[in-house]
Amino acid sequence: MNILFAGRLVDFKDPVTFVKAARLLSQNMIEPAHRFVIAGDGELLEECRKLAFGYKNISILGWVKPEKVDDLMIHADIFCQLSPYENLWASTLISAMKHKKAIICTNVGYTDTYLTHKYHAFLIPPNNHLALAEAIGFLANDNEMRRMLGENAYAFVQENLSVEKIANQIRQLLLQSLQARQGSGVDRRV
Amino acid sequence: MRIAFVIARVGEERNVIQRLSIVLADELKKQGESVDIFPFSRKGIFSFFSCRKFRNYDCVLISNVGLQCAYFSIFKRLGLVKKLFVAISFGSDIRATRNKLINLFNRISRPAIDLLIVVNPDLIVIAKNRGYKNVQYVPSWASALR
Repeated sequence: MNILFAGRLVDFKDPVTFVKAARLLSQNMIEPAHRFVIAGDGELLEECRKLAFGYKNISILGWVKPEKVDDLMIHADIFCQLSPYENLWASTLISAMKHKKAIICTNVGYTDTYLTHKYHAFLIPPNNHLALAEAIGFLANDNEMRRMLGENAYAFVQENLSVEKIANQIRQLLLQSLQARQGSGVDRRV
Repeated sequence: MRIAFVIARVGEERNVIQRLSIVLADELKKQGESVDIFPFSRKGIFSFFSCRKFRNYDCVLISNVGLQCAYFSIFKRLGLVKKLFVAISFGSDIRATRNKLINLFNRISRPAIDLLIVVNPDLIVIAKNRGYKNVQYVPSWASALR
């Protein structure tokens, strides 16, 4: 299984929990069952490298080009989005949804307002590498659940997050604001 | 609608916000709006008459409440720009309440911004706590990125 974390390596994204879970799932194994990949850079890069030292199945790539992230996403089986504060709407989360990936996501902020547990994503508590390791183990052994999560996440993006739909919402907001100003007689000459 | 879209860091591959902004500009054009992109760089702050370029537009749309927003907000507050002034916040520009620079940009920009569009639902509360009155949420269109 390929397990991917992509994003800035900062507290807000909590890559450390990902590395801790990866270590836990790799300890005492001659041939680890999973390959863990972290793509991104930030102030926690060195800490992540130190934690992953000696584990051949944990790769920390640093910052990579968007095309490379796309490639990693295509080859990933499970994607992890682990912010302790808010996951919506991280570009990497949306990318994973668009790529029909099974997503493990921390249940923080507005996450469960939009994403349903075991329907769009597998939701876990924040800052909890034990829960993450357990979720990875669960999904790794359930092909059908991974497929179903990926399909539902993809459908969510198609239905709610298309650029056409959102740009139109922004257009409407601009038009309404413009009309309101014209109605109030604000000078627009300059 | 004629939109002047101010975007900082145009061409910087690592910067997701500028990529998202250009995608939005393209989509607004597809939907029939007239959109011109005004790339903003730090050198531009010494062009004191740069606000004149907005004369032929209905609306000034600014990506991120950063230096670019604070800069043009000063012109708006001085009455040199009287167009509809709309900023899009992607989060990092308003979340860090302990960052002095971010706080300064927000303090300067807030009175000038007629509408703040936020792309995360939690940002509505954060923006209101910062004193923004007219805040609207739309989801992120990052699905259009590669």
